[in-house]
Parts: sequence; structure tokens; C-alpha cells
Amino acid sequence: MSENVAGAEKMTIPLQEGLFEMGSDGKYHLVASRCKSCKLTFFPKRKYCGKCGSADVEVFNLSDRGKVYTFSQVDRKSVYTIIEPPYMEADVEMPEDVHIYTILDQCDLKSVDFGMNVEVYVDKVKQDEAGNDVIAFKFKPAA
Amino acid sequence: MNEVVVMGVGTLRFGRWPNKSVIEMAEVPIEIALKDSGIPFKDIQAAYVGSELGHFPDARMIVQNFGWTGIPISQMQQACASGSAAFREAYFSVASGRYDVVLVAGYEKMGKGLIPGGMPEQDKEYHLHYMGLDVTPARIAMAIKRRMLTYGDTAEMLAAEAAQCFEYGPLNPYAHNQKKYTAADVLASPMICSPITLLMSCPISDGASAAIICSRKKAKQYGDSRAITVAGSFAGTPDYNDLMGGPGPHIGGDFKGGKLTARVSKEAYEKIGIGPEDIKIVQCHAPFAGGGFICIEALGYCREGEGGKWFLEGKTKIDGQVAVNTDGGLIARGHPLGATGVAEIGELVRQLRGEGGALQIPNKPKVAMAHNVGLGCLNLHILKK
Repeated sequence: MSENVAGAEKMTIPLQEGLFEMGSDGKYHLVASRCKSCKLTFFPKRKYCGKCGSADVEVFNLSDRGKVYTFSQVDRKSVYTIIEPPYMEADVEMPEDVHIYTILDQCDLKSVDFGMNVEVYVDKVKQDEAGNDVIAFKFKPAA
Repeated sequence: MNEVVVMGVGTLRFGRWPNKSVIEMAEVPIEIALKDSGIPFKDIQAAYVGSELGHFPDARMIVQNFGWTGIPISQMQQACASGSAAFREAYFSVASGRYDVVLVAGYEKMGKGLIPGGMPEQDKEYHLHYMGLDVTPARIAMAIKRRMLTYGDTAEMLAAEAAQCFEYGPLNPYAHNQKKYTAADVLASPMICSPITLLMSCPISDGASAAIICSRKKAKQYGDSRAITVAGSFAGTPDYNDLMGGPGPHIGGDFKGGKLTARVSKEAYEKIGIGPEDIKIVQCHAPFAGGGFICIEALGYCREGEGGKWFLEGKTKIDGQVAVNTDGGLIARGHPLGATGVAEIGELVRQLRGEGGALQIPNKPKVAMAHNVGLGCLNLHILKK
């Protein structure tokens, strides 16, 4: 009883290309870059090192877990935002010495604290006009 | 480099001006600044106009409203620092000897609500915008939250900074907010991004401001007894330390730790041969409470972590160790993006001349500093009597 017409199969589309990818383990992982000379890591991945400008960078998957470095509960909606306030914005410190700004979801907003263990996951955030699922990364408290 | 002086300043009261065009808005401060300078418009050789949300014919129409004299007119767009960017380029155009008499203006007609840090269809930063991560106050809220852990900053300290702004706003005829709010009012107002409340945030204001600058040599022809010297113009963008807090380079800037302010002010102090101890009055860019803490620490007035205490103890008041945001700052004066940087210069020129009115700081200040930050950029000017 599918209403799909031929060639219009529903797809899963990232909200923004290049931020995460499906690994060989069947899970999504964040994608970062590391300068081979400075050894500095950047997220999102950069074509050129943010410090020395070298294009000799390696692209790799970050760990899935990090710790909450700081956070703020947002009670107002910005013009383009598709997330309904209140929501928790957090700065997550990753083991690879890079920080990530993110939505912290699936948590009691009042229970969020510094140093909290959190893990990345990919969630459907909207459906586009063609009916495709649009997905983005978020963090949630680590089990 | 030629010596550059400010000859005249003017401001249109910040507030909401729905029925005025940007041309009508900017006409007011330009008229005031021309009159203040004693220089006729026909002598202006170039104009630099700052605005973030403006449209390409605005600057030309604003200046040509006074006459189609055929001078070059440039529009500067640098977010919240657009006005100081216009002032900076005007300064260098005179310092380099290219012009002798230059008009600077800043203006902004704001929309409603939070200002997004970019446009998704332009920059393709869909994650940043759609996931609600481009909320500017959230960035400083997160920095302050971390400071609460590291330094023991408190909500009372944040309220003290905002209450100081609301103490001075009603005494500044150009301020948007003319109502006096107490620290208790600030704490009781609705939360925007914890721990930042509504009254800890700059209001949405329209506004315009202007200045006339001149070479010292030319200024003597008009009478330079009230002229204030621009001792230096400094600027920068964040380095990779700020970028490592990504994603969201659009909202890099100085919210994390004030490193950009520290770097640019250090350069200013070294080049001019002065230190913060010589500068008793500062207009600093603090659109949200706590911004002032980060600024006075980064500018070298106190040690890291002491900024909140300084506001709480009143060391940043008009009669304190350094007078900060004597015109009510962004929180009470208002923050029409492009107008802010030029309005800061206006307040400092009045203070250095001794024309500060009810807000005049004591002991005849000789040096003043204007600090204006946009998303990912900073302009800093030192003025001297």
C-alpha cells in the first residue's frame, strides 16, 4: 500500500553535510580534522588548519562520549530555530581536546551539571517537503 | 601618520523610530556633529558609514541628504562593531594624509527578537541556525556559567552590572531605557538564557550617531580648543583559540574568555605607551551582563575572576577606579548595531571635554578607551585630551 511513486523513495538526509557519518560499526560518529603539523583538532572538520593554514589535515571520527564543560537553558527562540524552547545548549569537551556546541536532549533540564558524561546520537529533527527524514546530531546523558 | 582629532559628535536618542527612515534618523546626529564641530558640510572630503542590517544605497542617501558634493562614501558592515569600523577607516584615511575632514556615521533600524548569527541560505550553516545554536546571549550565558564554577561569579554580580547601567541610563538623554531598575528588578525579570535575564540584556533599539574627524593641522583653521585627539586605532579578529569552541565561527568573538580584547588592548597599550592605570574611563562592549566582567579583566584593570566583584563593589562606577559605560552601556543606552561604536566615541569625547553633564566623571579625565566588539571582530580606540 505504499504511496511512493517510483524513484521517490523516502530518504534520510543530514541537516548539514559533513558533521557526522555512518561508521563501519553501523553507528553515526562526529567527523573532525586534525592538522598533521600542529596536531590541533577542529570540529567541524576544516580543509585548512585553523592555526597554521596547512591543508595537510587528517579527517577522523571523534569519540562518542564527552563531558559537559558549560551549559545554558535557552528560553527564547531564534528566528531560524526548529527546536522549541526551553532547550539546553551545552559546550561539550571531547577527549580529543576539542569542544562542541550542541543541544543536550533526553535529559531533565534541571539535572544538567558540569562534568556530566554525555554521548552523541543522531535524531530526526524534521521532515522535508518531499517527506524525507532530516537528521542532526545532539548529545544526551551517557547511559 | 598625521595627528587626527574629533571635532564634533552627535547622537539620535536610541529607541524605537518606526516612522523615521534611516536617512531621517541619521540626519539628526550628523546635524548635531556638524554644528558641534563648526565645520560646514561642504568641507567634508569623505564619509564612512557603519551599519550591519542596512542596504547598499543607505550610506550614500544618508550623506547626500546634506548635499551631492561628489565625495567618496563607504559603507562598513561589521556586525555590532560596524560603527567603530567606520570610525577606524575614517581615522586611517585622515592619519595617512589622504583626507583632512571626514564624516563618520553609524545607524541601525532593528527588527524584533534575537539577532541570528548569520543567514542559513547564505552561509549554509544549517546545524548552527536550525538547532538553535546561534542564540547570542546563550554564548555569554555559557561563559558566565563556567565563570560561576571557576571564579565564583554570582547572579548578584550580574545584576550589579545591569543595575549600574540602569542607574546611568536615566541620566543620559540619548539612552533608550530611561527607567531606573534595581538589582532586585534585574534578578526578578524573565530568564532568557540562564543565568541571563531580560534586564541583563540589551534592548532592541533603533538609533544613529555621528562624528566629524579632522587632521590637527586643518582643525586649527576651524578652532581646535575642544578637539579631542585619537591616540590610536586598533583592531583584530579571534584566533584559533576561539575557533576551537566551534561549531559556529560566526559567533566566535570574545564571549569565551576575552582573549581577543586582551590581545588587542595589549597592542594598544604598547604602541601608545600607556596602561590601564592611565585610562580612567572606558566604554566597553557588554550587550549582556557579565560582558563587563570579561572586559575589565581582559583590558587589564583587574585580575581574571575579579571582574564581577569589581561591579558588585562599585569600583566601575563614575567615581570608582575605572568608570565603565557611563552612558548606561549597551544594556540601558541601547545597542542599534552600527550606531553603538560611534555613540561610544561621542560619550567619551563629551567626558574628555568636561561636557558629561550629570554623568561627568570627576578629576578631569585625560585619556579614554572605546571598545566595540562585533561577532568575530573588535575595534578599539584610545582618545586623549
